[in-house]
Amino acid sequence: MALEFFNSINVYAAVSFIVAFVPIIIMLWASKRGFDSSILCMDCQQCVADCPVRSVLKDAYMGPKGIQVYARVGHNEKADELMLFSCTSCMACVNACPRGLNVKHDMDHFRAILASVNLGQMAAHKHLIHMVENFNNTLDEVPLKKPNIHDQKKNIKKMLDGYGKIVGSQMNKEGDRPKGVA
Amino acid sequence: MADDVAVEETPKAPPWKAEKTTAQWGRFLVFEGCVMTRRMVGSRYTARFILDKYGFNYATMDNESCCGSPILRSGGEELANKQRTVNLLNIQKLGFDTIISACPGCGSQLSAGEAKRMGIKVYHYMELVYSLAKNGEILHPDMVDPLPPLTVTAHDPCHLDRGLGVDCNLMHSTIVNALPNQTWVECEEHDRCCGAGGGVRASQKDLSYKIRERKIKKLMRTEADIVLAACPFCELQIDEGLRKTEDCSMRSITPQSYLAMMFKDVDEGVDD
Ligand code: SF4
Ligand code: SF4
Repeated sequence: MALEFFNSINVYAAVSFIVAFVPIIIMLWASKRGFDSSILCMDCQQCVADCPVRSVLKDAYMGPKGIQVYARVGHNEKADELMLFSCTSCMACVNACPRGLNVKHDMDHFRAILASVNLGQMAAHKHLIHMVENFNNTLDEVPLKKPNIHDQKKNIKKMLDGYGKIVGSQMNKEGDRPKGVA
Repeated sequence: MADDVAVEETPKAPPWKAEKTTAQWGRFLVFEGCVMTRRMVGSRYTARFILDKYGFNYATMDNESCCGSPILRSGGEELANKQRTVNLLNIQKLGFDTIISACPGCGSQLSAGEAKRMGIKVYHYMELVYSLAKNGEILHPDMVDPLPPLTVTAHDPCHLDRGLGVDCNLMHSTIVNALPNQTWVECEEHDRCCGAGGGVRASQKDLSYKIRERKIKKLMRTEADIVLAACPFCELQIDEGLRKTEDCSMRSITPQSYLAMMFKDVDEGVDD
């Protein structure tokens, strides 16, 4: 009786289903929660095809998938050479991946690994970290204080100088309004 | 640090109110972020101007700290997570469960990790403007009449489109089409990166500008007057690219500045 039950085709099917798919489902779930997802990559290169940095740097930048491969096995120097810190974090790769892997999250994570062995980071990256560690913002060397909007009104007045001139919020130069605006 | 957190309250009740939309959003906290509070102060002003004009019930946090997004891209994963947690805890302490971020970078950083567990929802400023348009409440009695005829296109910021999962193209077109005399024109590859993010603009200008070239080419083809860019970084990056292009009068602005530009009294209360 028991033998008959274990020999039945349905049980074989159920067991093979569990063995084949459950680990994949668990890993997909885990990757959505930020664990290293590169193990699930099926090497289709879709992420590489859509990467804007790759389209400019061509083979000098191996794209998310290529860099991951090296970073995952601990080839930090190689990952650095392939310019891990050139990723713009645009997430086009995440969008493109047919497995829905969070490739971009892995890039951020590998950046931290590279930085911990003093690789990859450029002066600008070090400066940003220094700013936040010491002044709690990325731009001004004034600790903790958020500028009051009332103190900024002089600058804002320059930008707003009448209707139709709020063009380019950073600075307003005479004649910078778009055509069609009075 | 948590002791000296303070909230700036909304100053006064406006004479006109977008009833349906303000009721829909309730009370929320506006997270302004480093770039808007310290560099793109025009967008900071227009964001608050719009919130006051339509009568939203909001507050801002006096003691915001960096959200951690630029740190995450700089190899400081641990510090970035700490920055996010500190901000979320401060916000929770003030009793808010809805954050409106005017910067997509801050928004997607704050919405990751523990925000969900803490019951905090993060939205972007454009979703607010979109609901004004969708509810038919975007037209305000203080607007210039008639509005100047403008052709408008848009760029979808990566961290808004894919980071916060917002359908930017639908939102942009709905906002523009809800305003009279405005012509919406869709840009090819509207969701392609402008090249400013990930610390690339700060660390590798040449690469960043090369990525931008393609964006500018596509934008020029639309022959629009204005490009909406709902992210202070994209606004800066695209606006700079357009200014460097010969014979180009197209300019890039945030949706809040675009909307504020329609008001007669946009510079009232801004004194020298
Ligand atoms: S997030 Fe980085 S790796 Fe992914 S497509 Fe964008 S630039 Fe390429
Ligand atoms: S798109 Fe996804 S599955 Fe395909 S190569 Fe990239 S990471 Fe791997």
